[in-house]
Amino acid sequence: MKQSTFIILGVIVILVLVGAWAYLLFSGTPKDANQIFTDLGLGGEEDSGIVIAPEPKPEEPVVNMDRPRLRQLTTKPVVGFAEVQATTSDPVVVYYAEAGTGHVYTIRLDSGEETRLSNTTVDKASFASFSPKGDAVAIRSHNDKRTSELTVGTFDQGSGGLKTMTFSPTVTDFSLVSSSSLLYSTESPYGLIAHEYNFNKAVDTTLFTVPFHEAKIIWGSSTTATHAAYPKPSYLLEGYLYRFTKGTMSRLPAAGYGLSAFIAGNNVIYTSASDYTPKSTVYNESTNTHHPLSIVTMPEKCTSSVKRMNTLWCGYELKKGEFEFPDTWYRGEISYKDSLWLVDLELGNAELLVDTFIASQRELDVTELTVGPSESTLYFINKNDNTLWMYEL
Amino acid sequence: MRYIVTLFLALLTVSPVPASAQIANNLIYGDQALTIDLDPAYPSPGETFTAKANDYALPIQSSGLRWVIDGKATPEYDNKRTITLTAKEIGQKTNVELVVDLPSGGSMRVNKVIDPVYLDIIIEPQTRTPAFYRGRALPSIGSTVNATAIINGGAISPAGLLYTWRLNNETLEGGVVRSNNSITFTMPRGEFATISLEVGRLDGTTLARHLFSVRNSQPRLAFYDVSLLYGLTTKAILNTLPLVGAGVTVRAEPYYLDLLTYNNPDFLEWQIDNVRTQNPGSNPYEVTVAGSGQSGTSQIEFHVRNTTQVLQGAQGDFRLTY
Repeated sequence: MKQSTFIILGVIVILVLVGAWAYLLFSGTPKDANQIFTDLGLGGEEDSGIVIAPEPKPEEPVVNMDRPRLRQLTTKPVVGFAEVQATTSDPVVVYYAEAGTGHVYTIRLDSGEETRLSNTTVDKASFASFSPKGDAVAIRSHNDKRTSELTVGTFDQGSGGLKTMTFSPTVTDFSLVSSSSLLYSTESPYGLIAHEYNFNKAVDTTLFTVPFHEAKIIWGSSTTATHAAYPKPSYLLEGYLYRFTKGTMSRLPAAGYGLSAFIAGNNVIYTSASDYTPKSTVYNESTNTHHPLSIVTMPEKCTSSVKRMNTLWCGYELKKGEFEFPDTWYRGEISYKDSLWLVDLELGNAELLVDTFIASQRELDVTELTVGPSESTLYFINKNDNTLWMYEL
Repeated sequence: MRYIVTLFLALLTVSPVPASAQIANNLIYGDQALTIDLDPAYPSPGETFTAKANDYALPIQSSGLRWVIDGKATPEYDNKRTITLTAKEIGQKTNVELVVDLPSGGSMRVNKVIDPVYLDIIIEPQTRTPAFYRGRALPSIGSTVNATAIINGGAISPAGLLYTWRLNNETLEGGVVRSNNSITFTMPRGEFATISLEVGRLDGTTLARHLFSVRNSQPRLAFYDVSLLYGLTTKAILNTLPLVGAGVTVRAEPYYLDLLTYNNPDFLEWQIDNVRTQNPGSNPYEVTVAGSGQSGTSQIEFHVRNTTQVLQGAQGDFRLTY
């Protein structure tokens, strides 16, 4: 190509650039998106000047940075708690009993306001069970005794203390299913005896007998509900699951070393270990089938949905390597760094809800996982310091 | 007369073939010549088990094996010596029948009825665990162990049954005992103890049998901080405990130590920096250590032992930093 051709092309490019600069200088920049840059009208075509506006993107959910979904509710160690909502128009309130003192507090979830409801001291309070309506509480003292007396009472707004009810037996385990009904177990030479004590009638009724002593009882939600029991788990000893319906004991098809179990509707979720490897299984009573779960469940770390079929929430961390499951956790020699998972019992799979360490920068060892009656919030105690936590679903 | 002789000759000619199987089964080869062996011998409900044809005592070679389950032929199992089946639920029997074809054209039959039973044995070692511990105590050498048998979840009463308990192949309680569904024994030496239980009916037939091993554990120490406000904490002290405040009370928990030794130990000692410490408190398993006001560490050691049964003991230590 000739040198003159290069020069001509260069001059043309410079002229075009100078023209564009002059246009921009005198016409100014567009004020809004509807102004067009130019209508060159090349080829005689007409441009209507309409610009198709970009489709609005769906709004991202607003994240309230002040109130994360996973948050710590108490700085005090807690031995029992319950979510209560008197009516649907009332605020959701969490009741909790403080470890050591047994003092009862309430926290409004909407405002975070904390109120002390009872200043009645229960020496070395170690476990508390609230009635579902939050109008009564049963508190056990001294966790260094196998059997201990309970303090059971309703809240006296006037005195700010507990209006205690007379209850004298020493118990091994208990659950307050209403303000007037306490389910509890006592030792006998032949095993454990499960009772119901009705405070209104001052009547004690024997519910069923467990023919061994070292039993974990799964209390039903009422006196007439089905209850269950199994020998306390250990990785070296075999366990079996039994059900109690109207006082009659029957065997459920769940057994194994280190067996622990809980019941969710028609499903029995049980975990057993072999060769130091725990695995969890779902037994569906309706279909009489067993199928494996993708995570390892523990009764203390899981809770089931009443509203949604086959739904479970669990705290879980995959622990690799051999360890004495669940003995070492019960001895307090190991700790989990749990995340919260949503488990589909029908499919057996699990979906991560929140990585609690990323969300809180704290190692949370989940225990006593519970879902509130509204099923909008999960609550749990961090076993590392016994503080109460919540996660908004 | 002619008819009688003809009938007699006809019977002589016809009868031998079908009669041979019957004779072979009961007379010539004996009742044990053909059996079905189950593994496990008494399956639980829903349990998978194998049925094995045992015809090795037959003096003649069989020409074929057939299995009939609950009266139905199962061609898929033809000529298989071992088949795998699943026991039904409680109260539902399975009839397993084995048909052995003989070269002579006859056959032999033997059957076994599987009536599945849950025979659960709950082991409750009488060894130490703290009250907050949610697991079961484990047995250690020389410790007392209670075992309780439950059949079909308690649906079958032990009252009319005969129990034969064995520990390491040695019969306990002197032999068969009626209604004896629970037993107490002392864990023998060795890594494992083998426990077996055979439960029989009053007519002499066996209802169920269970054989399993229980491993001996060594008593082990864990230390826990005792809070004046909260009582015993549930997180074990792992190697080191930082001293916060003027002093600390620590509880030693000798897991799996026989309760008799725990309650009345021959030897019990706390040492702080290798110096024996007199414990002024009421609980010999607790020690209170006061801070010296300076920074440093102390080695806290604890030792409990039965001097007669020296394996009934535990020893451990941790470091207190202040």
